[in-house]
Amino acid sequence: MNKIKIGVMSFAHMHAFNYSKCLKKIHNAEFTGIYDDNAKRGKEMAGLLGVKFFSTEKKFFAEKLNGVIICSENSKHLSMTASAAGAKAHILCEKPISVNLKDANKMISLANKAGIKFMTAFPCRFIPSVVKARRLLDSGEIGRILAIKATNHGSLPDGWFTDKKLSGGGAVLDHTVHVADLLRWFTRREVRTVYAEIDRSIYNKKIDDCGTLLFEFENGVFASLDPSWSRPKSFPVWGDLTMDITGEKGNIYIDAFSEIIDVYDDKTGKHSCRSWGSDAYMGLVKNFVDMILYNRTPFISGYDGLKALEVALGAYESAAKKKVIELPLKAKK
Amino acid sequence: MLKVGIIGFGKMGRKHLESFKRIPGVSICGIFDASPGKIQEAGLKTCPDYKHLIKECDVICIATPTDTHKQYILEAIAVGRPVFVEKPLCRTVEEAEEVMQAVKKYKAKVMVGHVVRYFNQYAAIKKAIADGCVGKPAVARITRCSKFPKASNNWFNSREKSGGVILDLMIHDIDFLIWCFGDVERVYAKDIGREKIPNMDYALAVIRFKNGVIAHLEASWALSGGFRARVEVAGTEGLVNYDSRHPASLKVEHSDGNVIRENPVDENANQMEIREFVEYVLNDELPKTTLHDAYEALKVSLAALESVKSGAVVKLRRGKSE
Repeated sequence: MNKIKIGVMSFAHMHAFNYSKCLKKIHNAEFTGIYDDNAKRGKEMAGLLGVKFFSTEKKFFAEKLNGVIICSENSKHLSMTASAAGAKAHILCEKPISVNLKDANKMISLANKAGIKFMTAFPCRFIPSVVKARRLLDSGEIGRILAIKATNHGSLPDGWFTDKKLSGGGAVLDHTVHVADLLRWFTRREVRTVYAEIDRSIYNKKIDDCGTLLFEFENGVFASLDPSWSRPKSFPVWGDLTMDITGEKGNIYIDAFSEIIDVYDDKTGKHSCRSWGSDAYMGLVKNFVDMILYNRTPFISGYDGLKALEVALGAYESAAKKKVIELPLKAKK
Repeated sequence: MLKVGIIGFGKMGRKHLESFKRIPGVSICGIFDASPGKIQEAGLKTCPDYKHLIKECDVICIATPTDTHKQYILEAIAVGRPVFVEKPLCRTVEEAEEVMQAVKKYKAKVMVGHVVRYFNQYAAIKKAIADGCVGKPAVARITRCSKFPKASNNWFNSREKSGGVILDLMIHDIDFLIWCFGDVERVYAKDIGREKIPNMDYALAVIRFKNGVIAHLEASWALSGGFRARVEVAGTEGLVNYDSRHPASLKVEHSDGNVIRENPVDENANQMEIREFVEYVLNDELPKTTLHDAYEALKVSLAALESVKSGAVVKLRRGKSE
């Protein structure tokens, strides 16, 4: 059988490099090449990965790609989705799906109209401890879920992440979508109310860098999330993903990135850690390739991307109005 | 000799008795408990009438269920007895106002047992922040989890008496954060009260301080065993963190598989707070836990409970006695 032809659109998001390395290892995928609106970056990455660089979308899609992975700045997800839909290429789109609900809805309908599959890239759904926890919850191991305390801490990211025009939001948007998606996946419920305190007091940039959300699902389960970029440069790891789940008959604790070894290297001047955990990116990319290959329904849909985005947008609205916000958000006029 | 009368002989009453006994110049005048059997079992003499005890002693230590604190405090300070009362100060804002007015009227000395300030690890966190280790603090996370506490008549299971995990457990960390960051602007909280599960409680809260710090608090009486406490503060220039799971300085493994982890200290936190109370009474030295802060911690905890009930954000208001 022919290999599935996949291209990567933009290396603005550093995950493009992780996904690309996976593509090279997946035997039924052909990593056709890279398009990037930043030609210098695109050429450099193409050279590093040993694939072709295409300077225009036209040349890129002339390759008759079966699928693309979009890793542009968040605000450009819509235009790249439109191009991919036009070329009938299935899409794996980096999170957050977009910077507002209007664009996200448009992306989903563009894909529907073109008859292509749209998948949102939430790699955390492929972390073995997360997958196992969901299975345990489903088996009734700790009874009903009552409450969840989550963190998705990080360090300050570089470049466009702190430029609101391109990213759509800071720490709260960047990290809330991951956890909101996992909790929707666990509870099989939508978020009903969101409250958030948000600030930009750590780095004093023009974008939010810290905050805490407290939200409630339709079934009364409540959850908190700290999505702050609060890990200083001297911190031994980049960040974390933790979920403390309180159930009726017990508790489950997930510390997804705790599989590490300690490294004491004089060159870095600090204690650091290296992961020995499984590669969640590989699970995600392989799932995307298989979705195309076997004509499957996307495991993580555009709607999943949109509902996770809505929680983050609700958090911003809550912080601005200093009150609890009900979801779904009302359409902006 | 400073004669101490103890009212309430549950877990905390016993602890405070041990602490008072170790302080030179202090003697135990008597112990009162609504169920005197507990005192007799411990081989101690019970005092049948608390009013008599208040009259006989020099200072009073109150460690009864929360909803009875006010009455004992008022009776003790009305006759000039300094009071050490287990946290929380009392059960409601109205009771607290009454106590604060009476304290003013009688110029009484009342100290509330917010013991977390006396734990070396928490004092070290506060000092590290003060030393500038995190720069300007931005976000704090604080956690306190244990199994459901045992007590007579299972009074912790009664919201009316104890105020649940927010008023009895989270208040420790609320007090610590007030110590570090000052006054609270607003609070939003959720708990599992609606589930009405006996002998279990769990709550999460978000607090915005007037100085801008955002704090997340977790309090759990839902562990099957053990204890976990954590605090983390991140700011413009760094981060400090304490976790009770950090390796202990002493670990004992028994052949039956039982493991004991311990960090022995020169003077334990309960001992320290009682010593400060005695020094406050005898030498007028102000303790680390001021009555004002205890009153604030109570107001914030009750505001969190109010938020749970209303589902809305609660802004802190000035009390009548401020």
